Amino acid sequence: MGSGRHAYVVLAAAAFAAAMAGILAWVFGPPATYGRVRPLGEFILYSTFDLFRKAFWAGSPEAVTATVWDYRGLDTVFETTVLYAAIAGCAALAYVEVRGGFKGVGAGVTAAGGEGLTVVVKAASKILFALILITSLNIALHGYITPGGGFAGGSTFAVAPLVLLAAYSLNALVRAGLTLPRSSVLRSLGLVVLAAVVLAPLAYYGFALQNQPKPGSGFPGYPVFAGPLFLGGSLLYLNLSEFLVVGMEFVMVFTLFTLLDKAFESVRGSGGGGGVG
Amino acid sequence: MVSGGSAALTALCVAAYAALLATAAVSLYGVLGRRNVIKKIIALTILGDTVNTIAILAGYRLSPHAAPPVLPTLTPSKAVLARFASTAVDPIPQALVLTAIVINLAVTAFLTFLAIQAFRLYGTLDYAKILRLRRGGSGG
Repeated sequence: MGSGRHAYVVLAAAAFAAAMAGILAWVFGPPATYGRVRPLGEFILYSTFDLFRKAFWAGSPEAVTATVWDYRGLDTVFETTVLYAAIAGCAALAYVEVRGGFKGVGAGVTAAGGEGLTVVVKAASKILFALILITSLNIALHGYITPGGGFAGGSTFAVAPLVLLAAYSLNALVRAGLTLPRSSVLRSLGLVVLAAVVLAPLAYYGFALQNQPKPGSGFPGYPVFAGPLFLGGSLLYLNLSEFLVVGMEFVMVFTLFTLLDKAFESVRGSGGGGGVG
Repeated sequence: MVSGGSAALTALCVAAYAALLATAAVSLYGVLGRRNVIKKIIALTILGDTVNTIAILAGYRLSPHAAPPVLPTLTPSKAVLARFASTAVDPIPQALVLTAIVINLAVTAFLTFLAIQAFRLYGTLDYAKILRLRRGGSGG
């Protein structure tokens, strides 16, 4: 039984590798495309900050962020939906286990007091928490002029609660104000801001997700230059709201993991073998 | 038609592809062939990262003068724009991978929740054992 199954698996892996090699040979013929990128990529590179032909520009010198939120913005909106669905799935699964914990995360856990590791680890993790917070905000805020953005900043921020969880306990996170309901509310706030920025041009008879003025649209575009400031159109607001969404969703996931662990421990401790029978 | 330096770059790129394809094949074996659910999830994350790296590599500009896709000035002339468009790497794969990494993380978290739930219900992470327990428990 074992060898037959393994032969099948090896065959499937080989077929996958062959298919990938075929795709790559098609996408990437080394001598023919040497020193060039695909025409669409070159078009985006040329027009992302083309001051002389603004019909196609995105108002940002950062071609990747311009692609994420302007040229292929619809992809990103749907990817945010996938992210939302995955986290909603986690919360729904955990809800069965930690039904009580959802309401009482704040009160119940704080009363137990703060445990955790040694003073050295705690002090170091406090400094790290502040540094990670500043770095991630910087990545999100500067995402429209330097490499980075909402996704990168949000996933950088996601490490901060992990550091606190490891060095202290869930109590520290709760005392810092990042309870489960509050992070859920902040996540929703980020989604509302994102949706507002995406849909606002419709009020001016423009297009959804429109960033800069386009022919056939009444929307004047989000401001790019404001006096001495460079604002980068809608990319700044979209990056900041996505930062809030991604960061808070990961805070939710880590809190749920910790709560689930606690609920699981209490079930194992009292019930014995669980549902195996 | 290709000079010595470019031939070396091309060879390097082909070698990188070969290594990535081998990694993809091994991680696919992990997803299909391993019985432990956690090992399946680990293999799946490796597969995702490998595919992301392949996407980034497919958007690379095979040239010794390849530049990052960020315009270094806010007052570009037409010549600067043309030079930027002919030296920077492709931004589209980078944009897709940027979001794909975060989605991967969320989906991995979801799968881990499912694995925890399966372990709580059946007391094992072995896929075959879970199936056997399910059949035995529900009576067909």
